[in-house]
Amino acid sequence: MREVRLGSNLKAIRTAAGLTQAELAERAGVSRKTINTVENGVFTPSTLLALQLARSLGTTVEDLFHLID
Amino acid sequence: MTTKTFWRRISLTSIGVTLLGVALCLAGFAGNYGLRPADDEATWWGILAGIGFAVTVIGMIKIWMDLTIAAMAEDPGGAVKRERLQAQRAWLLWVYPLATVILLVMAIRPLEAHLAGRGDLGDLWGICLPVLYAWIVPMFTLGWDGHSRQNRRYLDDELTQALRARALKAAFVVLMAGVTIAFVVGLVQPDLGMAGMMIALAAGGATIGIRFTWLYGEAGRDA
Repeated sequence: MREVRLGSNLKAIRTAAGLTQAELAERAGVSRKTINTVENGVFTPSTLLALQLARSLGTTVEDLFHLID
Repeated sequence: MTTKTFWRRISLTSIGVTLLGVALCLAGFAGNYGLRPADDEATWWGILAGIGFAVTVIGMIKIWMDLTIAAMAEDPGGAVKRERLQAQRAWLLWVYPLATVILLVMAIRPLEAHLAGRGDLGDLWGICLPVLYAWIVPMFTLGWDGHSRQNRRYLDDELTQALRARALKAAFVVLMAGVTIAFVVGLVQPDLGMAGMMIALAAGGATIGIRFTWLYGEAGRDA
């Protein structure tokens, strides 16, 4: 199986929404560091967290994340 | 928080206990290294330093509790509380491994006395202390303590769980390597093996806290 990684548009969508990491963290009920690590690709969020982030930003999980081959 | 607010939140008792601990600790070290006493007397100076250190730690925990209680009374909750509690946990997870290392250094002389067959109850306590502290660090890191369980919704997010797993992996490697070395050394020289076991346990316990705090610090950095 080919190795795939998670690509993220979270930072772009968050900044487009005019939110800081701390504001998004508060909306999603997680720490600011969680948002930072997801944006930097250091931490891969669970399905639940991905859905929470998408809902907090009024978008879909597919818009937030994609696979990188 | 301003310096004035910081000091206003701490009770006089907490400051008094901490200063008393520091004074006892310094007296113990001064007596031990300054007066160059005989072995028996040196043990008592060592115990005094150990008691002083323990009192200092109690005082520092009391200061931390004062600050926490005062902050909780003023805190609106939510994200602010989450950030604050997580930062406090990271700070504690530096302090406890450091305390473990200090206690480990202080346990060397009691261990020598114990292995030479002239150790007393004080020596035994001095030997066990770093190992007990080695248990406290994983308990805090893994969220098994009362404070962490009470604040689970703030302290147990997904990132924390991921960092815990990575810190636990590092601690497991250190513990396995340490115990293996202690075992091999113990086969040749049982006394040294016992000393190695104490060091391995303390190192394993300290590693999980240090690694967690390290990863937590890295998580805050921008790529």
